[in-house]
Amino acid sequence: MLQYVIRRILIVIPLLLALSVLLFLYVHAVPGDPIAGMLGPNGSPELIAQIRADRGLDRPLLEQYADWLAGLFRGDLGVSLLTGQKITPVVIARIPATVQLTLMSLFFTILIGLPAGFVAGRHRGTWIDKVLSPAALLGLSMPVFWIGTLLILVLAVNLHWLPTGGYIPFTQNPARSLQLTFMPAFALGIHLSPFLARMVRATTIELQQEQFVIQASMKGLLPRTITYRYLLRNAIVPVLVILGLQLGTLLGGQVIIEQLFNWPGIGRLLVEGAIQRDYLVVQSLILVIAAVYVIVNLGVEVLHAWLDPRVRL
Amino acid sequence: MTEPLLKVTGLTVEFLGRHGTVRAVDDVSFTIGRGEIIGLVGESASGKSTLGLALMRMVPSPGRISSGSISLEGQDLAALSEAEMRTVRGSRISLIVQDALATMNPVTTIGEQIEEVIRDHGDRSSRAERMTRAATMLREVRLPNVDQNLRRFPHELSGGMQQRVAIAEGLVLGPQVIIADEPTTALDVTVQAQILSLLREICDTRGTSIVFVTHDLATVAEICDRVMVMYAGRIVESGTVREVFRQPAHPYTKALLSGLLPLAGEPLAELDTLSGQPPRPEDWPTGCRFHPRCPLGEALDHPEICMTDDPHVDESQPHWAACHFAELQQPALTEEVAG
Repeated sequence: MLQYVIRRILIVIPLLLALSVLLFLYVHAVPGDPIAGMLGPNGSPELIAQIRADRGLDRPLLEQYADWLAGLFRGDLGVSLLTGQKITPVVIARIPATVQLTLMSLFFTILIGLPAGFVAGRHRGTWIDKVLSPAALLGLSMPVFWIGTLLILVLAVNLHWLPTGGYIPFTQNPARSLQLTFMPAFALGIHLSPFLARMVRATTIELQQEQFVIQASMKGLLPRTITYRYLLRNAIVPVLVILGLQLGTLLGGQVIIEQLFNWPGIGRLLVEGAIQRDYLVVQSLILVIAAVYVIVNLGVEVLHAWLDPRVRL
Repeated sequence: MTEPLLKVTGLTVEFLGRHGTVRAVDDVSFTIGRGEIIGLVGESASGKSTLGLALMRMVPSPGRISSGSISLEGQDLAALSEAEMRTVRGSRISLIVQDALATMNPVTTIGEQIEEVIRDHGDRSSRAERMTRAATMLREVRLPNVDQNLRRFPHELSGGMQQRVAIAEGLVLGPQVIIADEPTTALDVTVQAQILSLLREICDTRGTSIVFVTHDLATVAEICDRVMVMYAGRIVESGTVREVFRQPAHPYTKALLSGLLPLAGEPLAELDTLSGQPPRPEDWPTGCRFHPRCPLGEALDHPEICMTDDPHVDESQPHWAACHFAELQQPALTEEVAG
């Protein structure tokens, strides 16, 4: 197991290095000078050149890249082109909001998707399934921004139960913080749970045809043993894989939802960086998001092996 | 003779299909005494596995037991509610199948699997006690290194060990009847022999009866007391292994037996090779269901009675065959098997 994890990490390093090269080249190949853009009509060529020199943008590309890379290994994501501030603390400041949103979203995804999929699969073809399956399809076809807008419209604008958006750190005021997380997380939960529900339903149906589940009845086991120990316990494994993928995506920031709910997470930082053409922020942030995604997936694989003893790492 | 342990009367299993109802098992009756091993032999699709499942009341949908009774110690299993039947399964009658691995929960250890069976049949002792009971049972089926293997997962054991675990699981509650559906087919020959002798030993020491479903006559000769030959949903011949193997009265049995013994250097007589496929349940032939393939019928120039009438059977006889011309049957060339 440990050997496998080490091997996987060793594979991840060249992957991330290759990505860093691509990102770096991509960002520098994009037309338009960010400094000129920042200074606007007031930017004299001298001033632009001075700031470029100040930020090290006039150095050879290879040197800039090496510099950036060396910084990455020290945990230094570089300096914002616009403000000259270090990027690392800015990113770190955004992490709690995104993590909180991610965990709450997954909570709602599981809360909705797991029981719905399991019940539909267990009662395949009955009215329960015939209600749940189209409902899942409906959830799948609704774009997340539309779900979010609808929630704002109903819960905030019409009913005045919740504010339309915003964020308070959990440590400052837990109750208020959770209240503010509800809408964006619930919107994501509605959006993501149909994937999970369909997966769980398909798995449950498949499992019920497996000989060991049929055999469970031959052993005279109680229906609840079959439901929990034979079906649910085995259905958890693919669920975990789906959730792992979703976790990786969510931790990368939810650009649309964070924007919609004025949520100061990684996703919004990315949007802000892109709009302001602060390329170094974009470049570093995407690399961080990719790294998080890869690490989360590695974690999921390890957990997978633990849950399903047949998987040998 | 005292009341038999298991008495099956007129058992019929029907499948509701697109082309109407088909009878996979048709009006089957037999009895099993305590501690007896009875072989149920037949080709694929003869209905032997379905019969095994029917005894457990586990015929897969859309099949169902449409008539007949399954009397275990005088109690009719066919009349029990599903909840009552659950308590019978695994405790008084259990099923052991060919692919032991496929029957076990892949994410549960060997010990837990057996412990669950004990618990779900109403054992109120502690988990540790149930585990001990599982371990004792595993020792009885001679699983090596029980203490370690209890904590292993099914896929970590060898095929022979998996089958021992499956047997232990089927036996742990001391059932009166075990239905063993090709329990050794997937194993290699030496392991097969070990498992067979284990089953025989269990029968002798515990007085458990076994319905041994197989297509392998050699296995039947090895461990069974009696044998029933099944063809097209019906039992066509029944008797002690010795009688049936020495003097098969049904042409089908005879053909099966001669197929078993392609003696070196001795070419099979044309009469003894079976042509064609076994019929499917949706089109059982009329009259004697074996008549389209029957070598005896051919030799007798296709008597009309074979195509029109079901052969009459006196099931009270210790050895009987469902053939209009059973008495014309030549003694088989299979003395050696019954030997």
